Amino acid sequence: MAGTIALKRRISSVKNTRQITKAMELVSASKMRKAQENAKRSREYRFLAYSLLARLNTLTEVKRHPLFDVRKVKTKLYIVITSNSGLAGAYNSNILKLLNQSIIKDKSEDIKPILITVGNKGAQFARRLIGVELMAVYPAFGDNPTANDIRPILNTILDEYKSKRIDDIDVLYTQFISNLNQKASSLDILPAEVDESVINITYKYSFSSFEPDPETVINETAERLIEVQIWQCILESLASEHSMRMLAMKNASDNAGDIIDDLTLEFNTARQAGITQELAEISGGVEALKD
Amino acid sequence: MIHLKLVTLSGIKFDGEAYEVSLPTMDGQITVLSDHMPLISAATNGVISIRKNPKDPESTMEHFATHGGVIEIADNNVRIIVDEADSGDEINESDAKKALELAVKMKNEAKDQISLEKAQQMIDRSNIRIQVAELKRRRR
Repeated sequence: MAGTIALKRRISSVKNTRQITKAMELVSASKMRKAQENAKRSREYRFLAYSLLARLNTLTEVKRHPLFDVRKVKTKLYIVITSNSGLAGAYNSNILKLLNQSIIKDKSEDIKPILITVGNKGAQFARRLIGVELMAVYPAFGDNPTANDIRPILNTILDEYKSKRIDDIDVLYTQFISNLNQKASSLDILPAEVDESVINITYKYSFSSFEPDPETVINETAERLIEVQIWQCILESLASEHSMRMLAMKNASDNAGDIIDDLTLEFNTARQAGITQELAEISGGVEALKD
Repeated sequence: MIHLKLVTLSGIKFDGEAYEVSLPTMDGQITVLSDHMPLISAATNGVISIRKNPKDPESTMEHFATHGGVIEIADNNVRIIVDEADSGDEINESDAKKALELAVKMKNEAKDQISLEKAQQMIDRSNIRIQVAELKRRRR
């Protein structure tokens, strides 16, 4: 009977695990919905920033601003967005794989890669890399990021770009395509670009005054645009993280169910074998007594 | 009448007609009425106040605490993009006061220029939030 006791223990242990993974699945599902809604809400902001920049471009020389300055790339900064915790399927490893490929490519082109990581998993990985400068490490921003959370990153990268220490800035994030499809992607945020296709508003006047001066206004607008791009990347990554964790946990729950079924079958077989053996022993004993 | 759109990272905070809008720009507080000349301006820390109808008294105006951003005025459209805009309803006055105390304490303890600036920013921010909360309270 020792076998059946051990089996019973294993079954109850797997059942406990399934309860936990099931709960994590449900939590991730609700967090994912929230992150998705947040990502949608900043869309208007991005659109306005783009159209304002496009309008500025018709009024003044936007491209002369330092944030639009395209240089030969010698140093490249990556903002790597990962999560604090694991158990989210391939969420972190996909991003880190993309990072690794980008770094190898940069080194072959004599570009010096520099990193800013968001999330503990990215920081752990980055510390092991050789020949890569780790500029800053931020923990993940949690489920409700605010504009204040990203301001330090924004200020750092704007300074670094304007002072020409860095010539190109990419964000590595997980693009949220649909609930079932997320892709590790890279978004080029600096040098900034003017997208003229977004102007769909016709203006009565083709002039405008600026306060305090055009440079300040362009600077402010470009900063808003870069900010909202980083913001969008973070929110999409967050939605992707929860979506992937949900899927991973669903697989884990399903797998736990399969294991429970197998173990229950094994347990029943063992129990029945035990009963059969006992019966055989009893009838054997009865036979022995008859003689 | 002018059409006002106030957009923040966390969504649209105001989208509708207004008679008069008062805005904090880097050159000082300006008030926009209909047929304002085209203007693109950098916003600064301050209070955005909206009067919806010409005869509305002071007490029914809507106020938002904002921090930086860009304002575009063209063809009776006012479009504002800012990181955050908190209306009086969203601000908890006692929380804002606590934040101010903390910021003042941080300023006094600041050892380098960076933390001093950060503390000063927090003080400015909290002051504006308290101001908006007070405006809201007066309305009642």
